Amino acid sequence: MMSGNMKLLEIRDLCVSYNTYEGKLKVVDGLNLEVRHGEKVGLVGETGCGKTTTMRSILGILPKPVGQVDSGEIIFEGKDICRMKKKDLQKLRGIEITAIFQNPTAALNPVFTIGQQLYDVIKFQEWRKTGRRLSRQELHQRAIKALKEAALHDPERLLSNYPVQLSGGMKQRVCIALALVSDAELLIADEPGTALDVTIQDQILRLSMFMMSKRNTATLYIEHSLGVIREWMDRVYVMYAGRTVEVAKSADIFKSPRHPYTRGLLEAVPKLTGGGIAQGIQGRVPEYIRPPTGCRFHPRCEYRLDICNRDRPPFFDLGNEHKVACYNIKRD
Amino acid sequence: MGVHKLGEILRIENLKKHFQTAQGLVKAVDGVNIYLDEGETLGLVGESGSGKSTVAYTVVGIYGATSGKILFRGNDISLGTSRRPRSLKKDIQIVFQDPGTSLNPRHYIHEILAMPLRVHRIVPDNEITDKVKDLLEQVQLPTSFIFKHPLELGEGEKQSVAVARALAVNPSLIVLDEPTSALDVSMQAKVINMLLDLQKTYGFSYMFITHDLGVMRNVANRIAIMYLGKICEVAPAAEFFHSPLHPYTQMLISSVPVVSEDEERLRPVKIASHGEIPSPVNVPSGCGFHPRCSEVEEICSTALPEMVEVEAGHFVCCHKYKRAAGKAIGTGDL
Repeated sequence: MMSGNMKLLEIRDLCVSYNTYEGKLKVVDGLNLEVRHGEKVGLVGETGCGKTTTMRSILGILPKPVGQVDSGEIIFEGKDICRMKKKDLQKLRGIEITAIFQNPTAALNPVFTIGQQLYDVIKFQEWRKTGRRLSRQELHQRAIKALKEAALHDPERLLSNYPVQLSGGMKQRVCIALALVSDAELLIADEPGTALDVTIQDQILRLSMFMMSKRNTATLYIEHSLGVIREWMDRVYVMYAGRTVEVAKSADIFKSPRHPYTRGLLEAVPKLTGGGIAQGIQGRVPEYIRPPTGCRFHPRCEYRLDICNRDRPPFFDLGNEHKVACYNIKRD
Repeated sequence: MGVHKLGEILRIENLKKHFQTAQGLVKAVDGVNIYLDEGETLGLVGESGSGKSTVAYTVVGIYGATSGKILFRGNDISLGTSRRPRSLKKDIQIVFQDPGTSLNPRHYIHEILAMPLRVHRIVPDNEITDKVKDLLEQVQLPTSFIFKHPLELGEGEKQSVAVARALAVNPSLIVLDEPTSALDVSMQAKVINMLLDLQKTYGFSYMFITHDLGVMRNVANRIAIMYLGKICEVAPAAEFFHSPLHPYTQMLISSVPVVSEDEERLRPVKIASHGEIPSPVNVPSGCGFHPRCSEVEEICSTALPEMVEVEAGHFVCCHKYKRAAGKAIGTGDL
């Protein structure tokens, strides 16, 4: 595999909007993000900050015709996904870029068996990659191997099961198996543990991380749980109202968060050590029809300066890959 | 049995709730004993399918118990709301997990909050609007919300309305069934702090159900862990996290992703979690946890462990401690 510093995915000044009756919602507004080969990148933010929209833009599955990419580029291995033909995009999706979704029950088709769904994916990928059609036996072998790798017991029986017959944890394992059969370069995961219990979430995370490091798959992990990010990710982007506000290695961001939003978010997490919960950040995520001018966080920010409601803050480099988009970084 | 202890608001004795389903008998709650003091917050933790919500619903009276007793200040209320005097219905209120479905979308907030006031004749009809406004203020919402529909509010605001509805009838015990799991962290912080403030002001007792151990640490006085319809450990909150005894508790605490090094030190030696909670139709023999337990022994699959008090107020239901308790409590590898 290539060295760890090559860019696999780069998002430049991405703007995505939705057209609604109330007007145009600029849900993602100038997003910059990169994922290197084999790197695990987390994307955190509250509900409605544009995480899922970002993911959908990368996969080219924005709801049409409401959602559209207005400007910016999403470059995957040197090619711009936004301007790609549908046919070329299909060669990427499910083969080079795969995804795990939040709700495994909705991600699996309820009227087909696990086997049928797995066969389809394997068949399609092999055909796209080599133009070869696999025999039934080969298909079966690969499906069994994929399920075994995802730590599922009794894969033979599982192949003939329907999704309703499985528990949530098992369904998510099947989804991981589906996502990783193709030795993809990039896996996009949208809160894969949220719908599950902590012990199951722990297992799912350990499994997917293990499988990804084995294959050197890079990942963009969309999460609202900060704990998950801290324990498993190399680098973190904190997103607020359609923009990234802070980027750092995950060890640094939890030790010394610099953006007021990141701090507020971290303080509001209930700690196992007790001591009460901080009051959280005042106000709520802004409406996207008339987003605040300048820094979109300024109406909720206790450190705001005069400049904050006029100009959009650029990224200030704090060294060691730690960047923060805030004018008031010298406050302490 | 059945004697009311002073300062105790709720006592659950050997509660069982079984459901007959097409797959067989589901023992959702199977022999739960627990008590709750006045003004106390009892945390009930467990994975989905552990029966924690069933316990809550039986206390509120949505279900009648299959057997066992629920004593509310000495009165048995195990038969469900239909057999419960109105004054007792009023005393126990519930806040559900998802405010999007627990608030009627076609009603104004005013109507949602006025209904319980009318039903229980809390205030005369001409004072209802004032009382509704007062309730909104108590949950830190603007009084202008009375003519809004639930859809117009944010998730956190909706949950605050659900809390206000529970407050409306001056209850003594509020059951909170995962009240913050649908919320973002900053919203969650607000709702939880509001709940704690209300408790300070009115002295409510809370039965707080959640699967988030971080939340639990910060709200509960005592914590009970449920697994497959049974309680495996009960302890005061601080002790629960500092010296968890049951292997399941240890597994649960070590599975929580944390955000600081202080918390990491608190976690017991990393016990890799494995397996899933079995189907309640087909409960394993002996201790229900034994197929997933890292310290399983022969006896675990054959005999049911008994609840042992290891330290004052710290109960655990595991064979490991039964034997140890016979010798000396609090020594050796306890």
